[in-house]
Amino acid sequence: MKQIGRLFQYRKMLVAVTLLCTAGAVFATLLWNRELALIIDTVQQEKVFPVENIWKSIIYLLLGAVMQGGMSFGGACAGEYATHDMRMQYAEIMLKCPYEKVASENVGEYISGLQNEMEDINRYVSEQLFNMISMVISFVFTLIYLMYQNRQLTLLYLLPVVFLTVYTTVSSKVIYGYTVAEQKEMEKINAVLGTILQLVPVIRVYEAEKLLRDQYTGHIGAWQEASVKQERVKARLMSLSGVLSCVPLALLLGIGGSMVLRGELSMGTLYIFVNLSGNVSGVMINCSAHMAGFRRFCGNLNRVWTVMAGKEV
Amino acid sequence: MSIHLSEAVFGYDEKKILDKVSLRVNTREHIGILGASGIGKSTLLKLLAGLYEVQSGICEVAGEREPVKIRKKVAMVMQTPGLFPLSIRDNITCGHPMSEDKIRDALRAAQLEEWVASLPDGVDSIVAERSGNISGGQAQRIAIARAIAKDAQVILLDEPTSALDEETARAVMKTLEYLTQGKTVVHVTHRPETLFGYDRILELKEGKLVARESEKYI
Repeated sequence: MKQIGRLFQYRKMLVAVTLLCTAGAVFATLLWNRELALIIDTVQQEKVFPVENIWKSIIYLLLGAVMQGGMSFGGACAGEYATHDMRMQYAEIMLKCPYEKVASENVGEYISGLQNEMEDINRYVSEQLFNMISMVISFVFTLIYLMYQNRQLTLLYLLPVVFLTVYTTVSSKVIYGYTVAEQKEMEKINAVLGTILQLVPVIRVYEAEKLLRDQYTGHIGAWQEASVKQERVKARLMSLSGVLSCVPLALLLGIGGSMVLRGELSMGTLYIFVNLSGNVSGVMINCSAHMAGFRRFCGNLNRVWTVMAGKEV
Repeated sequence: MSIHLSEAVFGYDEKKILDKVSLRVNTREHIGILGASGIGKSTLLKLLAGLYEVQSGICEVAGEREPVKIRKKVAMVMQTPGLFPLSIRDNITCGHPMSEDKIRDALRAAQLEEWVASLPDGVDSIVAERSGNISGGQAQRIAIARAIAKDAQVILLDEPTSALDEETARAVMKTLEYLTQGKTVVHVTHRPETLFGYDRILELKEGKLVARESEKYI
């Protein structure tokens, strides 16, 4: 958190406004869904929906769109400004360095390395950070809202999601293992290619072409095998995950539908559950991927600050 | 006659590195070629190794003029060992069929036998020059063992000890003595002290080979 705080230290107002928009967008969505439930229930009861409620619905819709736009715009600006601030901080540190220190460093190489890390940070902040914050806010408030609407139905449909989350986490770890194995085989191929490029004179004088060709072919075969294995495992695990992800919705429709038939739940409320269930289950199922992305972002941020700290005099 | 260069010209683009160079080296003769860095010593050696082709003139090594055939008759040890990231065996045989005795003999001559025997996988241990699992001296000795195993008529040396510390360089020079025994040798270097006992010493200057008094270095 301290690292993220440092990233936005010069853009507190922008970040505050963006966060406000993020929260606003979530609340507008919840309010619009409540109105939608009222519309459905009123129509089902064959009553006339009051005009003021129609206006309210339109205002919530517009508010949601404006807030969503504000969040996207603010997130993109925050990403660009944060990257600019980081570059300026690096420039400030380098400008304060004595000549001997700057001359002894490969400044170009450092800047090039840092640019890549900063580019990743920029991309994450612009495209994902505020979306993730939005998801977390949405998750918390939707869960509270759904529990308030019908605690029994909420818990029943979330129970399989817990198992699904465990399954997704474990399967993504398994897939990661196979991906690493595949990448290692690819690295071996690149190493042979690097050797060929570097040792052309030795290869020609000692006629080692066949030796390296055999090595290359062998590594290609191993990589092919690892790649096919990875794709096969990925397809199996992910297709099962795809099938299983329908379970919460099926349960929601089954249990919620029977509750509607018994008169324990209104049709409008069931619609809210169907419409908003993804805000809770989706976040839970994909939490491992979100966490991995966030950890990568923190890692990049940490590396940039560490490099800068190493250059300070 | 083991090496015959006559009016050999070679250059990159417009720039001539070797300008009508002539050289005759007798069988089993050891000659050293001195010259400042970047003067074209390595280029000359690559011509003699059949890695480059003369643009005009004659380049004949061990009776061959075609680069592909020349390469079969020479062995080369360079400044950097140029090891493949494979086993010691692969680095010595280069994928050619070779008896265990011949591999052992090459290792013994390069003073590597004891060290290789101490490795868990022996001659099948993987060497990774850049990962640092072997020292610079050991890597250069493997390169010498590779040259010994090839048993070529002509040995070309391109500053084989310049990247090593003094003590290691002296030890490597001893193994080079074994490699060069009874062979035709061309050794290019900018350090005259490494040419001790050579039959002739030449100097490469402005694209030409100039004779120098060998006694001066003995």
